[in-house]
Amino acid sequence: MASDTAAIESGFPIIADELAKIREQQKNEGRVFANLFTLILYAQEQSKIETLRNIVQSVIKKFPCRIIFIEGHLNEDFDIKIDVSSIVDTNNDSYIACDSITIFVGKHGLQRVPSLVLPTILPDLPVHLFWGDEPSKDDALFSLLEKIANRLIFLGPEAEGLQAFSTKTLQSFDTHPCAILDFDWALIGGWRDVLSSCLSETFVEELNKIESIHLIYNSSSNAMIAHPDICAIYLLFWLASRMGWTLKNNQLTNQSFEFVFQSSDHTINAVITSKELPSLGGIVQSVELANSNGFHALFCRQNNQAKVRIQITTQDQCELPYTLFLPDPRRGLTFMKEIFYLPTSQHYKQMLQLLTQLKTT
Amino acid sequence: MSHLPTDLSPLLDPSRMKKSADPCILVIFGATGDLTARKLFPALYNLAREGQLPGHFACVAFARRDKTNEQFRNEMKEAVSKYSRVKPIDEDVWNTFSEQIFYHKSEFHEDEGYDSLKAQLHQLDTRFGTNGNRVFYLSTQPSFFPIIVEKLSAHGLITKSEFEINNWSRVIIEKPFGHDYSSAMQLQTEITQHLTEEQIFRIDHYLGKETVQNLLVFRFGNPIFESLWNNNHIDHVQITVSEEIGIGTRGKFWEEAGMLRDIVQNHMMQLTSLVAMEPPTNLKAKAIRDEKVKVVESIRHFDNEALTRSIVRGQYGPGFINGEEVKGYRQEDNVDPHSNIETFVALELYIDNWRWAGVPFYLRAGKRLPKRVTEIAITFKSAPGYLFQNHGKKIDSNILVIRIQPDEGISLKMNCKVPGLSTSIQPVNMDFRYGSYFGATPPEAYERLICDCMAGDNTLFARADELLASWRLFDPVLKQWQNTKPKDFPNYNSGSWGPEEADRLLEREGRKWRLI
Repeated sequence: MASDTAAIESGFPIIADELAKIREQQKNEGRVFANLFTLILYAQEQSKIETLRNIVQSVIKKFPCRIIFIEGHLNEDFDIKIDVSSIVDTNNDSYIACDSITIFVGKHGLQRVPSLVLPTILPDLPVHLFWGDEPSKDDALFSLLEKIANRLIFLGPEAEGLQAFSTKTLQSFDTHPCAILDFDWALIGGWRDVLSSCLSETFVEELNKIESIHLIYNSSSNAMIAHPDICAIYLLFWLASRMGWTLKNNQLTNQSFEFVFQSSDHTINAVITSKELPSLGGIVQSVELANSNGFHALFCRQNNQAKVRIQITTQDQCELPYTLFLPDPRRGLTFMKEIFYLPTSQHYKQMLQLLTQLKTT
Repeated sequence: MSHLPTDLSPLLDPSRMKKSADPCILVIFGATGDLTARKLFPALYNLAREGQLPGHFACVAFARRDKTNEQFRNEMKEAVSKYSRVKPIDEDVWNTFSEQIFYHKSEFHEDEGYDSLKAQLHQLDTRFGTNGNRVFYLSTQPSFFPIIVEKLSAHGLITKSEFEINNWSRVIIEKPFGHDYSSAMQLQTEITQHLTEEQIFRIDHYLGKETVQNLLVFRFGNPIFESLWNNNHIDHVQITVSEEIGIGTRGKFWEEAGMLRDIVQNHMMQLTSLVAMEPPTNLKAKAIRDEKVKVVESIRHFDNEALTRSIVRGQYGPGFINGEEVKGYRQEDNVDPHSNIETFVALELYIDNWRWAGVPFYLRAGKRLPKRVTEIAITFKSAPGYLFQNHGKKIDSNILVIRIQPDEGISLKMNCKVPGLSTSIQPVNMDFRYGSYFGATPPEAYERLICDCMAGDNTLFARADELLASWRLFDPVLKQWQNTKPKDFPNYNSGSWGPEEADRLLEREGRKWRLI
């Protein structure tokens, strides 16, 4: 990431003036500034801050925008620090630069943040708020920022908070006027497309009789993926909600998540296990569906490629395996469009509905 | 008007002739005040620097404090060094210019002071060849205007006359012109005893701004926009004058004035009339000002219902501006702790003529808002039908924004398709910035206005009937506010975009204030 930084340790610079200076400098280097929207990001935990920073890099490849990054260091004894710079996608040697404003918020500075953010919003263009924390109505900063946002994007919850997150998010649809997106939900967009295109009308009857599901995900750390476990759970619960199942039971162990779903006439046992596969990319590695009628569907990610190998067999037929591609969130326009342009999916809402049935242990 | 007849000199090229200021002496009353240091002398200096001051020129500062010429010149040099749009100061230019600056101590009511001023001006006429032409700039409290004009007239320093080549006299008056309709009318009556309308130059410095002048060129020089400039295509107009600063040290002034008098009644009415006016028959002052007056006279007056429903007032409380904690209006110096003076106004008005019938104009002006912005935003009607719904939602309307300050320019918001297989819609801005295209900083408003006054062109100055029509419009509002004390002041935090009631003004019609 190339940047031209005017870092100010203390005091409150006029951000617009600092941006103007940087733009002037960058102009001399042949750079052009482009903005499609204002992207405001907020996080407190260092791991989430890093995840969001990586996401920003992916975003600006496709959608140059003004970045306002608010880092919460609310246990540290300082007020506010501001860093004004520009970001360029150096990997592609792009000539397009994006404004970047980072506001470091200490223990005493939170109330000042709105007065720094509001004047920096780009007029007439959408405002997207990427919230890296659990959404909470008690958070004054969140309440103020979500009023000006056209779109709310959540980084997604931790596993132990999934039920509460789902409940709160469902309530939010009534109170927030803007579209709400979940980053973890978007990350499994490719898998949802693969499953929906492969398990077409032909297999509906077999799907209705599914008795076991086994899902394996890659638990090794990834720059852009904060919650691979949540992604896997989302995929499972999406499938379950589309099939109209209810949740009978759930259990979390060290190695796996176990769920028991109930359809209209039988139960379905589902297991999600993790594997440390640092050499492989991706989140979900395989999805296996089976019933006692001889139906078996295996979707398996291919090594380190964004490809899924699919093999489906029924009692009467054994299809030849074939391959479909998964979009790469690091480079994918489709993925980015899901984050910034598509409305909240009804599938997502229904999945959240099912997740509210999780029993917390 | 000032131009040399071409038949007098074979060297004059009509194609190169530009409006030039006549030889004259500029007398500034109240010259030790803030306006002279921050605006007037930097303007004069820049005019001198760019060769726009008349070759025969002098300036006399008329004020009550005791100073010598040298002292005043040094003070003005310091002011120019600080406030000029071009820095650093050019010593050669300043040295030449400063030799034309003089200081005259007197009280505004003292006859001796005017006698000695007259004598001094005669001497300067001889020395500088200024032909007896005078511009008197009244940079004083409005209460002094009548006495100064009366004394000037009594001592033969101004003569009521319209068209003189030499020995002309003009008076520049700063706003506010009156406190309400009756005081404005009274002031007008007093002044016009000694001056014709053509001799009175009422400054509204917004009219001197480059982007405001560009409005006429933009509207009437670009037929594609003029054909859309009506109620068939425009949904509503928003005009915003936003300042992040508070009232500063002007508590005493604000307690008498308020936002409606200080900004809405004059600056915003000027912007409204320029946006809404019909094309003038020509570009002469009378033709343009005639059309502007028609706009103000067409604005629907506020009836009792509109007084409560269509106008919102506000007062800032404590908050944060650019990260800094700031106090509320009632905690400012020289402000009554229980003051009911408004620092924010939002209103909805309608222009009842064929072009604008049914199109609301939303005006808002306020102090201690998140940023300093003055702009006019024309929101066009949405596309008919639902051809591009953007996933069930109507796509954004086109908006034409004329940015008056800062970052002067014009932008047009359009909708574009996001590359890819689906039809997602992304709004984008097509943007023109003065600074990017024209490089050097444009002249400050006061440079243009002073130069125009010296050239005898009052296009960019407010006319009496325009002013009085504006006061007639807002008088009922002022009276109603006087009689009805607000119950909830302060009703917005510093750093926010004003009271929530202002948001509801638009929301009830399914609209929103632009997030600027």
